[in-house]
Amino acid sequence: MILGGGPCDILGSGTKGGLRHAGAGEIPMTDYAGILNFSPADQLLTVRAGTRLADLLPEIEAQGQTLPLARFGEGFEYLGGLPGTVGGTISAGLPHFLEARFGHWTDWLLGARILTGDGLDAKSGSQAVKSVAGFDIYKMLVGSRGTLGLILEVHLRTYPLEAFRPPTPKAVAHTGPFGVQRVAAEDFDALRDGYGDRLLAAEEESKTVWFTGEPLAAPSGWVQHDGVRRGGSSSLVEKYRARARETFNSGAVLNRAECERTR
Amino acid sequence: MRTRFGPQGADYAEKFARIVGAEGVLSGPAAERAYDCDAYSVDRSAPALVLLPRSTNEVCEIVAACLESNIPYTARGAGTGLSGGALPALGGLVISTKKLTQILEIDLANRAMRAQCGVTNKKLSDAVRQDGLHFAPDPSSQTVSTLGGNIGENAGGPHTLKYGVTAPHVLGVTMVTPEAEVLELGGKVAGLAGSELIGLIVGSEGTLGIVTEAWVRLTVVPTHVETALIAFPSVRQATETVSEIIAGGIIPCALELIDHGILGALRAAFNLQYPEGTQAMLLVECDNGGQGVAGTTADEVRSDIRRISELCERNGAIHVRVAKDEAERAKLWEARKKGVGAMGRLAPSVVTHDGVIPRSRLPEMLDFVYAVAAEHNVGVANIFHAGDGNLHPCFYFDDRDPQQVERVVEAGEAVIRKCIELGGSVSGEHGIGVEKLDLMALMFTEDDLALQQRAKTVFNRGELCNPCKVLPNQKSCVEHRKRWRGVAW
Repeated sequence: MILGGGPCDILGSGTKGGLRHAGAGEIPMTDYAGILNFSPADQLLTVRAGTRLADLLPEIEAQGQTLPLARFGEGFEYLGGLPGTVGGTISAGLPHFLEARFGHWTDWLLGARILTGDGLDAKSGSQAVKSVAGFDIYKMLVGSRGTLGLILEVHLRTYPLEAFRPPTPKAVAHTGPFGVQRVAAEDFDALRDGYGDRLLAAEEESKTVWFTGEPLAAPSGWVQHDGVRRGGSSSLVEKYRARARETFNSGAVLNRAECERTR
Repeated sequence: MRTRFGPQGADYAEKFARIVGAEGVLSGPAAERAYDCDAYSVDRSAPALVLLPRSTNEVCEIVAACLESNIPYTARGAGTGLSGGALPALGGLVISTKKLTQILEIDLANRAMRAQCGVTNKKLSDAVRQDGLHFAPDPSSQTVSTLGGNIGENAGGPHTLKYGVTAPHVLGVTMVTPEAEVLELGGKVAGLAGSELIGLIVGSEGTLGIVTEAWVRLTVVPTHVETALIAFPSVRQATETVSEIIAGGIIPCALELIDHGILGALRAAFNLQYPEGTQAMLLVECDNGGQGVAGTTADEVRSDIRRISELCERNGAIHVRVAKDEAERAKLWEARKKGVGAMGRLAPSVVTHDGVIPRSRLPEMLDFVYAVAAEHNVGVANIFHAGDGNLHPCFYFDDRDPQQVERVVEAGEAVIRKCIELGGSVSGEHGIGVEKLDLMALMFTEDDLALQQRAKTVFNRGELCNPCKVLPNQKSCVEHRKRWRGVAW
């Protein structure tokens, strides 16, 4: 994989509202797909980032494993309409409906191979379910929206299908943009009620709501509705987030528009 | 006060005494000896001074003073680390968290707690037990190891099989950066902006800054637990069963293996009885706790343990004992908890190694461990988190005989190389510290290590914050390593 030198946008399946930079090159990832290694006995999966979840899940479920992500309705609608790719879904890092019980990508990711903005192809983590060997760089990729490197491959911990007994999914008939908001327990009821018929879904256990339109102000927590997560930051936090971007994506070669709107 | 800073030594001690108070500065031979190593006692290095700050601000002032005077520093919790993460640097300070022991905020509605880094792991849980909650990570050191140390090492323990290591339970941190800033990341609500950086900090072994406080997730204590201790006539039958239990779709909350070496030591030390012909035991626990299977009932837990027992019997188990009550459960866990201590019966010294492999490779891995021990003429006993594939071979020897020491080190390295060959990791829980610096290159290519070095520079662009740990080939480490390797002060 060669980066051309100028800014490039990483393209998955286009379901997460990734912002394009005018004139940027493209890195289409959907052909960079496929399972590299799958051990149902060990619950370990290594998969290329361009693999669509809609293709991946049936394949591993045929062997008794799954990823405990929420599904909705028929087929697979991940609250936004069309299914995304593994890399894109990790990069978007949005909460899913079963997070409180089954965890999130940061809990399932064991390692990743990435390409930095200046072309360093390297991995962090491993296939081990427990490992303290160096820094867990791969964890930062969740929610990074391509601003910290291009995800090439990931090691994931799978979940036994037999033990995955989620509550019956609610049908969510929405395919347009949406926002996500999470608040402290004491502010949850008011927030959920405040959205009225703009509320798409609400998860009591994790105090998370999914909504359409403009976000409501809340005294706690965070909101993400235009690709940027707001809430909990400070100028010092932003200093280090910028450092991370500069370290792994110097000059904002990858996903420049996403880098800029995060600042 | 004798210090190690040379002619200006006295000035430095006074300078730090102005920050932490005179009683917060320790020096002299006794202090040096007490702080010259953690539980990885093979390498020692006397600190120049030991400081005991009383607040985040004092830690920050110390780091600022270190920056000004170019003094390296190393944070230390309880000193129970097993890889030398708290080993002082050449001419460096130890910043002890012993006085940072307050629980700051308990928020039951949000199931979160904010505590200072010096609070012990168990104390975190004890503070909320009456509310039916606890801090889930339970390393064996939990009665003494601290929250800060647990975060630094991404501590594990027997219940990580179901509940995860420390990382998923850290919602926020307050960290004094190597640039002497007080950085707050995350908070009681999971996923706040900037919280993605916490993933880099947990498990960073104190090399990215000093975490002085953290928001931790509180987990509901399971209301129904079933524990079984199962005896097998061979280690292989036990290890093969481990894989089958998990492959069967059951998620036990703990799955530990104890071999004949440990059992023998337990019998000698504590008169622990077990069935004739037992070569290995599995300690299995199932519960109806939180993450994972939603709404598990007591009946389902009992059914899980029954299914496991039946599976074990089909695999040749000699004896299955299921605890009838809490008292009996505690008794069954004694075998696991007292195992390493009992090793004292076998030899004057024990080195507990730490490696991890995919669990389906456990049978061949254990065969390899026994073979390596025999080949190197050292004793070995195994007691470990079989469900995670996280091995802890305990090599026992007499450290008064340098040849035995050398053979033990070689045997340990052979085990780790095998772990990597089988697709595992060089460390499951104990971290890299100084112990495994040379082994990082077995697991990571030069490019991977370059990526690691870059990651470090997100927070640490100098050479003062716990230098020369975790990543090999850092410049200026040669002097540190000369000082460490077997040179006692």
